[in-house]
Amino acid sequence: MNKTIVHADDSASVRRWVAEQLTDPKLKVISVADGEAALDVLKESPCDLLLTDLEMPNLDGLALVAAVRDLPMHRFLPVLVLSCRHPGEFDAQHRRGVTGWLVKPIEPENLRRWVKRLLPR
Amino acid sequence: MTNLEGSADDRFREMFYEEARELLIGLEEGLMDLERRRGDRAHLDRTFRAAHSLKGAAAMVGLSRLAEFTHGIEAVLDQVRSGNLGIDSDIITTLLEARDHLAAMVEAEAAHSPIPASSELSHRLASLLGGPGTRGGGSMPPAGGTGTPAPAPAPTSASASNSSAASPSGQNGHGRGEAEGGQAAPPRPEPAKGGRSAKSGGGSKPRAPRKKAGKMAAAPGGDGAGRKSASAGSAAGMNVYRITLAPGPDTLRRGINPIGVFDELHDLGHARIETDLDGVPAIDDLDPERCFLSWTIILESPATPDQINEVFLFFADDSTVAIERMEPDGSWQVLPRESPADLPAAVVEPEVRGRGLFEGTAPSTPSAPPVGRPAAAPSQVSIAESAMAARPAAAPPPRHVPRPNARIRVDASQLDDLVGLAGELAVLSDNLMGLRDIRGTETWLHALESLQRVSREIRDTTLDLRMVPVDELFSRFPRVVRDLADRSGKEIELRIIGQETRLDRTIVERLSDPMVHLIRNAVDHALEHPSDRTEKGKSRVGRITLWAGHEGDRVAIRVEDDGRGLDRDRIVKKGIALKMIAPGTTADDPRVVSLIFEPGFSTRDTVSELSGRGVGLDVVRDAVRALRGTVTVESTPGKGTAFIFRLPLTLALIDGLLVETAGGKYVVPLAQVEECVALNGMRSALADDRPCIAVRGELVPMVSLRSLFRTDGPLPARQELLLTRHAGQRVGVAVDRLLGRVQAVIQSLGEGLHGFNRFSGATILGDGSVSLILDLSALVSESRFAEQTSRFTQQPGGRAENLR
Repeated sequence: MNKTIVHADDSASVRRWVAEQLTDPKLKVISVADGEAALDVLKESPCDLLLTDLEMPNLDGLALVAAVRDLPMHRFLPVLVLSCRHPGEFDAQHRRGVTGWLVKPIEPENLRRWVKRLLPR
Repeated sequence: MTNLEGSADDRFREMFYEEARELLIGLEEGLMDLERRRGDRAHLDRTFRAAHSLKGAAAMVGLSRLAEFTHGIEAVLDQVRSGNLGIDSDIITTLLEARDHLAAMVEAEAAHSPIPASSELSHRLASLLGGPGTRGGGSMPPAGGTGTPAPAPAPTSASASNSSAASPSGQNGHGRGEAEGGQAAPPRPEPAKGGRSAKSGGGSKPRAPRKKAGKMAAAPGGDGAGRKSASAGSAAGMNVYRITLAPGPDTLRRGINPIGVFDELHDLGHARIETDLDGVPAIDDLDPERCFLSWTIILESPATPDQINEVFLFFADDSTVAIERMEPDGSWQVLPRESPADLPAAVVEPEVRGRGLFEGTAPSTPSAPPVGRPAAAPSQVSIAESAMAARPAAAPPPRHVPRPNARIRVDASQLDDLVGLAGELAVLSDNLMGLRDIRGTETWLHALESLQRVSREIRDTTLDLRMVPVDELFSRFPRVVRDLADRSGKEIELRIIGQETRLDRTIVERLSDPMVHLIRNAVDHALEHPSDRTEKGKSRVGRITLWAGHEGDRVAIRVEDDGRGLDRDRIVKKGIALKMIAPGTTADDPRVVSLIFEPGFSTRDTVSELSGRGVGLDVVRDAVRALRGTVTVESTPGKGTAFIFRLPLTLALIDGLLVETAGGKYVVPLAQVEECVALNGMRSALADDRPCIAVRGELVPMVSLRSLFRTDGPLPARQELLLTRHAGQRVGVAVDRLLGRVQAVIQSLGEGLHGFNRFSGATILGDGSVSLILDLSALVSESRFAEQTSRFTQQPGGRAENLR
């Protein structure tokens, strides 16, 4: 069963990097440049995992997570934050809804393992 | 390990350099406006984000030194953002200098000759944050940590890659920082891993130990070496674990699926799962989005405790996960579980990448750029080499992911080739239209017309690809003006209007130097010092306005200042002294102003540091002319000066006039031709030994293409004269015949023909033949140069001799 991953990051090279790490015939990675675009995609289409940066134009990562949790179809969507920031920098209320957190720079192996683990079988 | 990784990285790096350049521009623009747009939160956010994205992307492609240096900039902006740091000119200057250095670092990286980060700038950035005393650690590894080669990991554990890579959240700087009394010492590389780290473990460990060490530090009484040997000893056999899992109320809403855990446990070994229903409330109280079940799992598995722990990585704070292992004596020993009390989610922090060690020199920054954030993440010194080695070797090609408004980068020379081909296609399809006149081709008529239409559209679209907003050029100037103003002690405001106007990419690129030149001139010569301005009743702040817009089918660009204006009397005096104009010329003669564009003309006797450099406005004129543009000047004494460039929209296409001389066909850019008149019946005369001709009473110097090309042959009965304007003066160019108008796609000439200024390019005509494009102004200059021996040595008042 093919899985869809939405990845939001305002850096093109990071988008490309992530897309390449997740290259797999069974994975479809939709890369978008900001939170708003991610939300637009998520409103329209099914998704199995959301990867998001935090600092982005239009809609930042944590606001995106909050908005996604309000979408009925994605209430239980796993969300991985990929950021230079550390979760300790944000208060717990803001981080609600985040499944996991990878601090950049990210090891390709880590990313792939975590993604694999969070994708439903 | 590095080879495989390196080649992949190269691709990302190329992309990173492109992106970094854009972000650096954004950063510069943002910084430039920071003072003026004080209180504009969105602007500050954008500026911060430019630095932040740059740091993130640099880190991701393994350029840790860049990331680190950028972090210094980001940290300052972050403090500004949080209101802890007020913006002033010094801060901006430091940030701009740091940005410039960063840009140099990026370019050096791109050129494969990296330069170290400037420790001086890092210090200055750090001092903006209140000096080293306030260091709270940053989210980037401190310099000492990244740069110091960490020892290679001893492969003591089968799960080395797992444990180091997937270390769960025990490393959270928050909790640990407090537990350890907030020690802020930079991390020291571990001399060895495993048991040794346990020796120095416990609470006395500096922050940012390796993950492994961190775990052991957290283990109550757990001795790393002991555990290690235990797991090694039982590696051959089976461990029996008892796991209790009670997911917290928020677990499902956080995207965690407990079923996945069971799947993973089944993969690890034989699992018996018992479900505890005690927590399930009556149906009325049942929240369907909450997990009320809990489980007890007995797992027989060769897996290490680390591996088991990792399965429950995503469960945190509100969940209960207890893992026990059966000891040889049948008792259960509780295994430590590191879940930070305050973290909702699993965290993986960056490792120092193995390849970082191969980047050579350690960053020269002795003190890491501090940030004001308290208790941020500690850094990790650990190598995940095995994790890299485990990278799948062959990956299928990346799939294309459509994005709205996606942009792609193309090689500029490929684009130029495409423009040429599209032009040729349009010409060929025009030729095919000739088939219409042949009998029996009626059925093809429709196809022919479609072909023509489509190929024209292709040509136009392709041409449009070369157009870029003039903003790409203008956006550089706020910085230029700021720097110039700083040095000259003048106060200057720069206004930019019409930056969305689109122009041929080549034009935009080549306009940069001329415009910088004019701006320098304006700052240096035209704009007065603030005190002088107030005296004259002007505002203290001088203003330079850059304006771009359309004028007919051309684009006009104005560089305007509100300074003192051109000193016409002085120009006249100098012009006469240099024998460029005739003595007695008055200051209001229209030709006076154009003198400033002559080579060697300068009204200043000393060359200033700012605008001088021995280059005059003639360079500006030549540059603009090379772009088939013109430059004019408007000036009002005391009010200001405006230089106006008028440029073609594109360099690839010209409207031309097809002319014939002595059997050869040439294209003359229509923009250069003011008027065509028939030459027969006109009397030619010699003025100052040069052929001139009277056109409606005005004596116009004449250049004959025949004589210039030294062609013989019978003169046609009737010749045509193309009237062009050269340096404000009308000049006639005689040709044999006018053949009509053409729209020509310019192809550049081969290497061999570059010396010939008179030809600006070549084009393919409708009949498939090739024709050269004449540059009338170069032609006229050339003929003047050829014929002229002296100028203004004779009587004043003549007009025809002022032929240039």
